[in-house]
Amino acid sequence: MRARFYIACAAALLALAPAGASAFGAKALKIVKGADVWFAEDHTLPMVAMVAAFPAGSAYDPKGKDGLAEFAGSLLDEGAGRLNSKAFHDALADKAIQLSVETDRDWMVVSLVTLTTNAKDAFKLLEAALAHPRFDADAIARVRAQLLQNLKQQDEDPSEVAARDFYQVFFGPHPYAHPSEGDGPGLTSIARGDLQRFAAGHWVRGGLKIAVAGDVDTAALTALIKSTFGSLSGATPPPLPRPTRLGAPGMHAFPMPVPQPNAVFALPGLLRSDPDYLAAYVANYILGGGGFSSRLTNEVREKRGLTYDISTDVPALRKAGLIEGTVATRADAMNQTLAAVRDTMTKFSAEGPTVQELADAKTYLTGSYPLAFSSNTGIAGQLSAFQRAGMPVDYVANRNSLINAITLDDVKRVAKKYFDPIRMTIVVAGTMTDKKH
Amino acid sequence: MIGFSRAAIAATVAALAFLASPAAASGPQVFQFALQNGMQVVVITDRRAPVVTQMIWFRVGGVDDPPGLSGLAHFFEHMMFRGTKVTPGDQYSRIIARNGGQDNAFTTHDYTAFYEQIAKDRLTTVMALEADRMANLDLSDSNVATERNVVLEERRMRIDNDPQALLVEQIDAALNLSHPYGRPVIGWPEEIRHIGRTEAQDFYKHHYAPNNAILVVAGDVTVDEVRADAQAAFGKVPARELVARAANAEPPRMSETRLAVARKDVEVPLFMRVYRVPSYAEGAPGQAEALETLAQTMGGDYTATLYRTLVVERRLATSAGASYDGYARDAGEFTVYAYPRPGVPLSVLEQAIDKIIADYAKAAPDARALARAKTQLVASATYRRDSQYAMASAYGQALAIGLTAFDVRAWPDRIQAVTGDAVAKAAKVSLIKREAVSATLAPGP
Repeated sequence: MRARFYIACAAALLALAPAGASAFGAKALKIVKGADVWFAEDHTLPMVAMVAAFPAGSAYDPKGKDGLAEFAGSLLDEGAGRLNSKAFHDALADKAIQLSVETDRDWMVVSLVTLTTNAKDAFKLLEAALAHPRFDADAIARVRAQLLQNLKQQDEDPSEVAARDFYQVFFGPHPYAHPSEGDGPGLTSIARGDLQRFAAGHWVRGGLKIAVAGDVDTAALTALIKSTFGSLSGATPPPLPRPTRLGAPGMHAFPMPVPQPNAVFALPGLLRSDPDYLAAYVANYILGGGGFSSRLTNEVREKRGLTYDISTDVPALRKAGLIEGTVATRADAMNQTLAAVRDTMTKFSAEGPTVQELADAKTYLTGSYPLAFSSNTGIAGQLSAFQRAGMPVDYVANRNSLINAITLDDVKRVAKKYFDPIRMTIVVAGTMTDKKH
Repeated sequence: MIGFSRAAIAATVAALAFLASPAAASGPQVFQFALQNGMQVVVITDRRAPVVTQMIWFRVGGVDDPPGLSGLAHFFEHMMFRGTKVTPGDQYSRIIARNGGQDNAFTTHDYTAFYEQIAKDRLTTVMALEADRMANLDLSDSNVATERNVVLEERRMRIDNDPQALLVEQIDAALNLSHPYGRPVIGWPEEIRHIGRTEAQDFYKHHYAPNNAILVVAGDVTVDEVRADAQAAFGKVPARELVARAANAEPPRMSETRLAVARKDVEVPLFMRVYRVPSYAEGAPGQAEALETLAQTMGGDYTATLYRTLVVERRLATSAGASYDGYARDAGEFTVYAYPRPGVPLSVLEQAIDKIIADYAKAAPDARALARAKTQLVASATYRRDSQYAMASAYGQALAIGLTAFDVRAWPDRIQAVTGDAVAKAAKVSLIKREAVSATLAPGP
């Protein structure tokens, strides 16, 4: 592979926006109290994709029980109602129903893909999993062993170690700090009652976001949503606290015996609700989000050959925004690489982008938007991401015009205010052997 | 193995085949034709969004690396982004991005593929760019040394930093006595360092031409549009005399090879065994499909025998599975693996796996388990139709290893036709230790 990420912008040829950039949308449905449902109907293929996001992320883990949210989510397909783990897995596999769960700091994200003919069975199984989880002792023991081994496996991988240590360092006492995968003591101490309490309190209708795409009509979907989610508790989990401080400026090194250390570098960023968020999103594309056209890729990879992959992002958790980048290089070049990152960011923050860079960023970001809407699974995933970000449903149609409205002054102002690396937090997993720059 | 001539130039144009069944009329439809210069073209219609996926597959990969220059095919894939006279420097990806498109590429032992995803009214733009770099790549000013360093960093990221990837690399080297499937596609580090501009130029001249390429366009297009646009963009690129791929020997192995790797960067032990088995391209009819079904029912998911037995019932492992990689021009691979629960010796896991394999070789699997495995495989073909990229990849990959578009379409029916006896026979005939490498990975000094 040439790159892990997608590519981007600048120079020559056509400057017109590609056609058809806003030919899609979704409708919002109110079906059960507390839950938002967004729906994009398409009968081309005999399948349905759904993504349901619950406020059940690891930031809700109680003290001493780090990993509870992840543990509970991992048990979602391990038995429900009258079906034990084996019977539940058989029921999914017999109908080729794909059910998966990912837990991050804010959310438990449940994805369901099914053939239309099996849609009723698929939603029925999900209802049982959410409302009547068994948490059988043998399933708990098995999944606990798996989660503990996952942690050990992550210890082999400097990109995992860097990400894990970064959140600890950056968030300090806040519940975002601990790894969503949990830790040894937490996972070991979690008991069946903890799992039951967590599921009862967080696998609920309050704050639930549901996105559906594919071969179902509104009437049939309404019935499916009612029967699947209607019986869940209407309670809403309490909001998470806002961090009182973000970041721990300076270098934090976590030595490990690998040929290629990995670094995470970050600054406090913007909440998704901040009016300047989209300007920061555009700025990030130019600095490090835009693959081959980004300034960081150009400086660190193309000019210096120091890395295969350098990128930045502006992730917005519900209670904290970040400007976060990753880079990996050989042990004797990490300090040199980080110096190049710092120089590039300092210049970008001080000067902002050029007129051409901004124009190219806009044509990429708006022109590539329809690519996310070319499949049922892609649409459900994109709609869910917007729901979790707190966007209204008309954002799906308006998003490109909002990006086009951003001015050079907007991006310059945001670059100056947020992208100066002087107070950057840097975490390196691995052993650096070159001199400090 | 299905034979085909790489140097031959197709004499007729537009042998149009309508490959979709009427039952699938609302879903993707697939068409195939060839240009006069020998370039094969597959068109997959999907009108749901106003976007297209273009892929170009060249029938060249790591097996074509010259001796002492492993990694050249992959390195050259990187160089394809280094510009032509018309589109100099790094403009290729920049032009695509400013048109709202995304692009990338990948290399395997058997093929190298480049792709773009973009609004449908920009298809002619990306066709022109691909056609230009197929014929007019200009490496005279590019910095080969910098790109070599980038590739060495890519290797560190994918392989050297990851003990499991290193183990797989060692297994492949041991499994292939002579065949270049034993060399890593990304290359051995000291050989990557020997790659230079001249080697890259020669590689381009010998392997990159329309008569060695398959164009796949999936998305909101009609076959007539694509035929006209492809003819205009690629039709003018002349066919070239190619250096034929060496007919590499696959001498029978006379003994199992065993590897015991202990490293200080390992936290979790692993048992893995890889068998050299027939692929879709070289197997007898139905043989690869039987191996595919065997892998699914033996180790494809939580309901499969390996997981049920080792993880759920006997509590020896935290995870266990099997997979079949049959999309190769020469031999395929069948892999079984298990991660032990803490304290369980790897030898115990291996014995348990051997017992399961022996049972599969003795008798047809349980009828419900077999039906479930086939249901899952067939459904995967339906789910694939949801993605332009997955559909384009399925057809491009098949054609690149010598299969036909008909083979892709017939695959679900062929899976349905696999019998329990065929699965047992696949286990008995193909999963033999003489044709395998058994490996352990463990924490060590």
